Amino acid sequence: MSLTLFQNIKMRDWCSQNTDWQGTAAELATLAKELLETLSLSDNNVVPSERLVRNYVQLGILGKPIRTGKEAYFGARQVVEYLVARKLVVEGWPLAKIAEFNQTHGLDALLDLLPKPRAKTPAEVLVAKFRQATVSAPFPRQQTSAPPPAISTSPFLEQSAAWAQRKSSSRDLLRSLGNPTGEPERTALVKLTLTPWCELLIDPAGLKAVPPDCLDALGETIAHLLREELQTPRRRPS
Amino acid sequence: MTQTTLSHPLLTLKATPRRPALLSGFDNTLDVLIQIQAPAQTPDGHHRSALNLALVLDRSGSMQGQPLQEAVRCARAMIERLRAVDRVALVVYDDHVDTLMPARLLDDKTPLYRALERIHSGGCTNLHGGWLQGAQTVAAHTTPNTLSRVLLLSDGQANQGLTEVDAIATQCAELAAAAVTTSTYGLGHGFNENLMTAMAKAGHGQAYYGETADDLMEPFQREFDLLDALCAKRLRLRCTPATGIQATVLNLYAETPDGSVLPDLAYGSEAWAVVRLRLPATLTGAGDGGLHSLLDITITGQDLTGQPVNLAPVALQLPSLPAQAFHAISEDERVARRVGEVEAAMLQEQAQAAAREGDWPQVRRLLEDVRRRAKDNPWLEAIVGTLASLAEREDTERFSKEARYASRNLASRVAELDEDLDFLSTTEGSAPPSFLRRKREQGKKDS
Repeated sequence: MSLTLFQNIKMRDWCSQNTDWQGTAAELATLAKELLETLSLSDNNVVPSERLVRNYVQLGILGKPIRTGKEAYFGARQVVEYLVARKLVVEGWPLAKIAEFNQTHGLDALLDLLPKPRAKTPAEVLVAKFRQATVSAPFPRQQTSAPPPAISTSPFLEQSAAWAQRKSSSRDLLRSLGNPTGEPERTALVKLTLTPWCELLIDPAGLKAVPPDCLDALGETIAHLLREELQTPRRRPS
Repeated sequence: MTQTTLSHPLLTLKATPRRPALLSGFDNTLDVLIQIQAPAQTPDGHHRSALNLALVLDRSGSMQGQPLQEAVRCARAMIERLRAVDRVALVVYDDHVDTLMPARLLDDKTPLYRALERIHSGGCTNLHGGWLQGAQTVAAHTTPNTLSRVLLLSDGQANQGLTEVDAIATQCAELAAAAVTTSTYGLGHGFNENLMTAMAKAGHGQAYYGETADDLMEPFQREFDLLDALCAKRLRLRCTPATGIQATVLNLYAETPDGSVLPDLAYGSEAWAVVRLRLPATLTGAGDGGLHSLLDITITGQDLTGQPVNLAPVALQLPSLPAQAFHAISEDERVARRVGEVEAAMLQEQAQAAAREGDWPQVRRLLEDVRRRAKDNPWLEAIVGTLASLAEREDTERFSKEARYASRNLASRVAELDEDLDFLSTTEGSAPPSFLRRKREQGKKDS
């Protein structure tokens, strides 16, 4: 669906009109990108991606997809969970708390958090035009102060306000160290200890994407690399 | 003698010629004072518009110490006057621009006070970037019944980002047309008064400056006193002369397709303009007392809820008289005084330019011309006195700023209803509100 079709649609309306929506992680990411723009929740530093969707599933922020054959399909509820998660992340909520919220609140409560879409004011259109025209006008630095206060829709959310403030200063530090989002990226890995001196760290999600007939070739490559290491003089660490 | 009056529940329009007649058989130059007057008293139960403001503070290296402390103090004082329905954003800039607080309603002011405490001075001055970010924070919340404004403070020159005065002023004008206005506050002697006044003029806001950090609080209070007392906004004056007649608004108002941009109007005040008409002799009639249509005057604007306020056009007509009868009619004193003020403003603009070029003899000649117009005008006399002493010292920065802000004050201010000739006289309990006070020195707080 094109962005313009969403311009005047509330998320409640979208949910009621798309109760049967199903999509893969990639399709959910594409849809979420459009909806985030409509809701003015886009964050230039974090573009929805299949990888992020899978990450959110692992963290419990999104409900698990339904597997049909080799594919896993998400539904409308997970679309809303994703949008809510992005909004709360921008406001400084820890991922664990967002997961807890998404798991313990119904769809109505989630939809209540999402802003209603609106058309840009003429002034906003002008500012965007001026920014494009003024190449030397730098995009402002990320906010260095504490994030806005928590959404006080329930005591549960209010209790996490202090945590969010501490989280905000950590985020600033990570950005200054080269992490564009300021968010640590968590990836669950599997470690296979083959020998005391040889371990394999495997991203299970990535492994699932490898065609089975490539595994033999992967094993041969690892063997080749080990032989090469044996024959090459030890390099100094760079 | 007032010639033409039109009343509306919110506004009264008066058009008063300097002399209420045409001199038959000669080319005529005729000045007309147009006054748009608000009700004298603020009505019971009046609430000002909700405000949607961005405080944009310069934190460049030159602001270190007392200037920055004072700017923060002024911002804090402003926040204290705001209500829960008002929305404020806090932006600071040096060579980087930071939004310390995005636009939020002021149901809790504590986060904003905390953000003010974290401001520290830094590097160069990306003034345009700071202003633009302030405009962005405000832009999302413009509504017909709010007043949206960027309040920009700087003590320096724009030396990063977009720096051209015309380009920045053009953007201010475009945003003002989209309901985001700009007021500017200059601090000290090093800021660019051309840029700051141009932004305020194009941005349909106020321009102030304080010579020292100590002088800065008063401009902020004046702005807020004005906002508290507003009764009409987005006022436009359109003058349509009769065929063959040339009409020029002498005030230093911005011009738009809708007409001259008049100041926002507060209760107990008037916005005004002097229109100069030039008629060739062929249009001055036969001297038989017959009326001649000269000018149609149209005023449009909005009340505080954003509803249009349109006064029906007012037609100015004057009788054609022979020379003896014409000269027997005395001039209107108030019109003559306002004409003197706007002419003085134009001369001061020229003096400011001459001072910037170091042409002090020309400055002194122009000030003499202003002094001639200050006869019987104590306020103008006081202004000239201030400028003359700065010209004696050939203090370019101070003279330039005083001349610029004085000319702006003379020619584009709201005035008190039935303004007293003697600006120093006050009867007990009748001191005008701060935004109506006529100052001797624009960069100094009232003593």
